[in-house]
Amino acid sequence: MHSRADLNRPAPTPPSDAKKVPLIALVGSANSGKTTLFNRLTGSHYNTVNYPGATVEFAIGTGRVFGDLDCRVMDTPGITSLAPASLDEKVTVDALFGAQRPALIIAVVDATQLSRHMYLVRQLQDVGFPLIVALTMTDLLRSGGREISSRKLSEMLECPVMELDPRRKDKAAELGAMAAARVREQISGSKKFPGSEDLAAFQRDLTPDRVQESFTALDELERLVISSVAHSASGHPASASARADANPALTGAAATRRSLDRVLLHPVYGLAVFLAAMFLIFTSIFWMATPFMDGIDAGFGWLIAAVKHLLPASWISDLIADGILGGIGSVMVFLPQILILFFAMGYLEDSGYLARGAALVDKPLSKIGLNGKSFVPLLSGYACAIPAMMAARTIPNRFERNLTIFIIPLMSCSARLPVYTLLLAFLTPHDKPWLGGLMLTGLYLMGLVMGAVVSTVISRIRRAHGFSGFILELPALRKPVFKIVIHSTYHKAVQYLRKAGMTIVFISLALWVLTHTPPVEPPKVSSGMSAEVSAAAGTAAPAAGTAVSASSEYVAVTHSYAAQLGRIIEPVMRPMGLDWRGGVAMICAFAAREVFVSAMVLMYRIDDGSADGKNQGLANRLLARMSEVRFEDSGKKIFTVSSVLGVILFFMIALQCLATVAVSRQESGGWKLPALQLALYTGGAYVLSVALVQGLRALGVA
Amino acid sequence: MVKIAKRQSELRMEVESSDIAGVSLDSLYPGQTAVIVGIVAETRAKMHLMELGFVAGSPITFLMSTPFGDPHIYALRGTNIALRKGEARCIRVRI
Repeated sequence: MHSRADLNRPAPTPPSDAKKVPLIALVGSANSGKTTLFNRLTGSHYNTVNYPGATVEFAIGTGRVFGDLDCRVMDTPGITSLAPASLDEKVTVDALFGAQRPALIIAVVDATQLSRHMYLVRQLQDVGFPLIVALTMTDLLRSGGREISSRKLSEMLECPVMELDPRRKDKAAELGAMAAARVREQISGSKKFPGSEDLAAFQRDLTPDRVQESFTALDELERLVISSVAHSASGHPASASARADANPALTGAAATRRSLDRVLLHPVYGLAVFLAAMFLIFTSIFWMATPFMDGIDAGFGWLIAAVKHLLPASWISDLIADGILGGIGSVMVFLPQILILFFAMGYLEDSGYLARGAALVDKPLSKIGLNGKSFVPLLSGYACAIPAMMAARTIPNRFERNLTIFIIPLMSCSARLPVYTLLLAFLTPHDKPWLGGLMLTGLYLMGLVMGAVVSTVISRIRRAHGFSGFILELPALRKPVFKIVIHSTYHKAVQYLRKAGMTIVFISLALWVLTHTPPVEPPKVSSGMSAEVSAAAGTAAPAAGTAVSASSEYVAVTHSYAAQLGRIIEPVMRPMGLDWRGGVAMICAFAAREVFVSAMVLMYRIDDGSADGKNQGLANRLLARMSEVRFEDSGKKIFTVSSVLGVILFFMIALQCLATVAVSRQESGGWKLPALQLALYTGGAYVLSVALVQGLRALGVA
Repeated sequence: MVKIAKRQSELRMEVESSDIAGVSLDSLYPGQTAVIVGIVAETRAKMHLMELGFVAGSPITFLMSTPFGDPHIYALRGTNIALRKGEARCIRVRI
């Protein structure tokens, strides 16, 4: 199993007074309605916090419906049993027995699958948790001609049971009052909370025979608390409802679900729906996000110009404008894409379709050594590799999980898009704008193809050990709750901004410092130097007033530590067709790919001082500059078709994101996997792009 | 160590399979309902299936296949579960 020794680490969050505020945990199987209830209980005001030591983010909010009881409510990922079968289940189970034990568990139980969900409730009771059972989907049960007696269930379980429609507010308040009373009782009492030793003992004693016994008892319980309604509300003939009693799978709600599934999993229509859904998601990433991205880009461009205009020209205004604002801007610019992809995925997940998608692609994915459950992580990989690698926790087989994590960096994450956009715009002729879109689609598909190749090869070399299977519950299809989807999107975006964003802003700052130190005395710049620089860069002489400031900055960069570093690695960059400035931009991209664009801006001196550039966006100015810059020694143009293609290929393959490396280590439980990823992807990317550039040049492509 | 454990679980499977009769779950035709009589698999996989509700005595219906023919969708205890044919083969049912 995965080593989770770090679970003993003290909690970084929440604050120290958290101990006094009791915690109420919502626990239940997947798709039992936990999250809807959670939003009701917390009034949708919550934070996702890292649970002690664990990297999984649980949503924890302040209770809003518990009267005068101060408490926090925690939503947890769905589990089937206290004996976890996958890593995400293990994290949840460990959390329940961890440093911050809940004072009360509200077990959320879907009444239409009572026996399966009560199995977990019985386990929670057995280890000694104080419980309240919240019954959901009772309306669905009734529409199927059956009814549950919560009073009887409460008597049999010897614990409070509350029939609940999570979408109705008054019921939530009633549950809150009940929970508050229970928590007070629990705090004043001296009852011992179950600890990790109880969990270990419980897991040790769990045998197939005991599971069988539990379900036999639960079948008996179900017979006693669920009865068929005398008059059939949905107009079933008597014989039909009698049959429904014998087999709950054939009741009304299940039948509707099944007829929809006949379409969604149909050999032809099912595939068509799947491909259409994927096509819609990815086109929306491109077309819907573009105006927002342009807006953010222009907004930050304006802000940077305003800061430079308002503040007196000094290194401080430079630091604020280029270092800080530029760094934040490069993080924010692809937030629209991440939001759109996460929104689309959240929407499909809440509707229940994502599980069908996973089932649908299980066979093709199993051919390349993966699993249907790799589908969601790989799809998330197109937004950002970090949440994607975490999503791989739902894959029970360790080999398949690690293989999924291994190929996730090949999926074209949104950080690559600013780079692709820039480089493809350079390659695309103005009269054929569609060509850029076509090439971009090609790049996205090629990432997928490369992932498949790598996965196939590795799975042929090293076969999966242990139980490789695909068992996935298909939740009832339903209309997604907009509010829940919005919230999950928002919190994933926050998670991304915190994890990747901080790194990127930090690196941008470091880059600014590297390119601005050691300081160069501005007066020392001679006009001769300025002319030499202009000639080397191949630019027309800028307007007289800006000449000194623009070239003095350029001189500062050419004498900076970054430049010294760039010159050291220039021999390595040359075969790829880049000079030392491109080399510095490439180094910066190792912090995070999108930093490449801002580094290019800095290294190739895209100043807002240039005479004709004032009214153009930063990207356009950069493009214009890219077509001009030349090697300092040979005077040849740096950015040509071949060198730009080489850079694109490098970005497609190379693992360049430090945050991803850290998460890969954390999720795979060691350095082996990220080290292999770095060696294979980054080394391979270099070799292949050098081969491409030199090959193209040998064929006569500039 | 792993090999020994594997052999042991294989032995256990043989022992268990000898007292579980019935046909395998993947031999059902779409729409057909049967009753589970037992699971023939190594203990971990068996436990996992059982905890999901695949226990002896449960009625189970083969609903439909998926576009690529695998996994199959089964109705069990009020829910629908996708299961690879390989796993379905481990589950013995009485028609």
